[in-house]
Amino acid sequence: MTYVENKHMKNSNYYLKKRLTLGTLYFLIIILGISMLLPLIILISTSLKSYEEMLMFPTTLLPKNITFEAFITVFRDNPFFRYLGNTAIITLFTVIGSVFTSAFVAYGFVRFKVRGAKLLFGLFISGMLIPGQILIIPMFELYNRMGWINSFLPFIIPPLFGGGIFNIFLQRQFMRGISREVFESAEIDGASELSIFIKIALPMNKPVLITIAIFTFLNSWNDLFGPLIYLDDPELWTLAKGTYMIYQNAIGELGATGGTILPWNILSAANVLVSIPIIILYFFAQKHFMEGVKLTGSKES
Amino acid sequence: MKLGTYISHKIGYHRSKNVWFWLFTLPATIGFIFFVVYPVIRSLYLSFTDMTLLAPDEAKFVGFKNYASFFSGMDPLFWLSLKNTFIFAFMNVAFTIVFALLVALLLNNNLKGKNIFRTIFFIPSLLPAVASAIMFRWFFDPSNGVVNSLLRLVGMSSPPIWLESAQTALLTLVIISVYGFGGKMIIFMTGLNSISESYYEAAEIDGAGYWTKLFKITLPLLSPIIFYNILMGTIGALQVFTEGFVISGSGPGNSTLFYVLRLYNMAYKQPFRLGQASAMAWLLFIIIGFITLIYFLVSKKYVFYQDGGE
Repeated sequence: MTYVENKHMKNSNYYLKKRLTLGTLYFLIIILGISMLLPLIILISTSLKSYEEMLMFPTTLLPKNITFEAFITVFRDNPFFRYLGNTAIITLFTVIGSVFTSAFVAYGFVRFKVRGAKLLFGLFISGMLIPGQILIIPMFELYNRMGWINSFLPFIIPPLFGGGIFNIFLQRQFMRGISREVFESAEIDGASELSIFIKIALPMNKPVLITIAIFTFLNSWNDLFGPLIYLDDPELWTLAKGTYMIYQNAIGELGATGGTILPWNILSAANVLVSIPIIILYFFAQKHFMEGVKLTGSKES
Repeated sequence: MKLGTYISHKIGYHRSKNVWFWLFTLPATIGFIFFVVYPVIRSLYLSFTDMTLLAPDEAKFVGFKNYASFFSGMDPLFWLSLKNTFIFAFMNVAFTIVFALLVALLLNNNLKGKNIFRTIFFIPSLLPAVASAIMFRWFFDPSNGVVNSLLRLVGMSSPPIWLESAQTALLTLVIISVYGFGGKMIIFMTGLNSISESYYEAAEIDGAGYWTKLFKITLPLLSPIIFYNILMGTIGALQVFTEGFVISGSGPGNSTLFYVLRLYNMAYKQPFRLGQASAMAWLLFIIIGFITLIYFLVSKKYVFYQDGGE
């Protein structure tokens, strides 16, 4: 190490060069950062503009007169609180179902090494390879026959049965790290399997529980496909579907009135409202988001 | 607790382990049967019928007709949707991976405020797809969108009309999709973090400069993660739906008609052609499987595993 430093010392240009490269790096990263933030800034700024100001050319980055008119319109013309409530119900049930059932099943796999366990697990994992598009069509048919269309059941029942194969996999990976002696000594103390699961396995698996909760929340909150096919009744729409329909209706109205410019300030306000909970969640649980991305690869798909 | 002791006493320790195992895994076993096994068999069956939801009783077994219809040339939209999807997937993966990798490498230089920048780059990927889709639909609006306002401001008199032209619509969707590169960037950053300092120290002693270190150490050691990102990125991009659906529908001249969008229109709109759509879904599975296989074969040559394999 000292050898390396000495060699650099000899080169009198070294520090100047280093400072120049550092300068370029900061320059690049700041430009990139601004271009990533710009859309979000424009989104928020537009949501705070009046329709007239939004139409003005050239567009200003920040609103001249801040008005909450667009937000008021969103709530006045649409049952936005209902959308929020529906989304909250679906998301809450999905998250709780996924987190606890996947832990429950993972406990079974980690704690009891019986014959057939590996085979069963391998079977489950192979199920992950089947793309959702294949599975959804027969489920759509089945739910339709069972009268589950236009209810929350297609969203909240499936997570109760295993909570997602990938989540079981994550829980199992983490739970394997818990020493067997911890479980065994609890067993000797006379604890039942259910109480070992609740009092030992669950608390020790907390980091994974949080990660799974966050990513299930994200997927459920952002899901458009599910509500598109299962929820026709406007009373049951979620925020994602509601926002999509606000946009569709605005296009429809435009066609009817022969106008050319959509009320982007109102649409932006709706977008801001849908996105805010996620941004807040991110700032509260930054660390877990990072962990989650590492564990799960990526959010989308 | 009483149940536990009862079972143990009644049937003996080892058999009770067995009972407990099946009890704990029961929810997943039921779930697997109902939500994986059943739909796989059912959709495979459906794919050989002309089942529609509106007239399920009139469904007949049609053999390979659904599959054959895609290849017969009588269905030009099938090929178009496949082509659009491939072009989108290729460009999306290429741009997203390169961009995510470059930014991760930039941030890897111990810059001040690294965490702030990481947050700025990551947050857009968390936005609900609906929200960012509507946002970009507006930004790329030809008449009063932000992008063209800026282009006019710098003197371009007739800027592109982006999503409203069959020539540029697909490309515009690619540009938009790259905005969500943050997740892949985080994965790259984690990978970069895990490369041991000692490699670089050794290389520096040998007089290696930045570029040598990048190409001889960083990229080879990162190659499994690059491979992973490319694979998952491709699988995800081939199933692209929301972006196209919200932003452009099938686009001007069907130029952004994606495979899954066409599948959606087939299965979930009147008259709900479940049979044909199932065939389409199985074909997608085969395509994805085939591409995955090719990736793994190619990766054997280029991906470097530190521990020597698998």
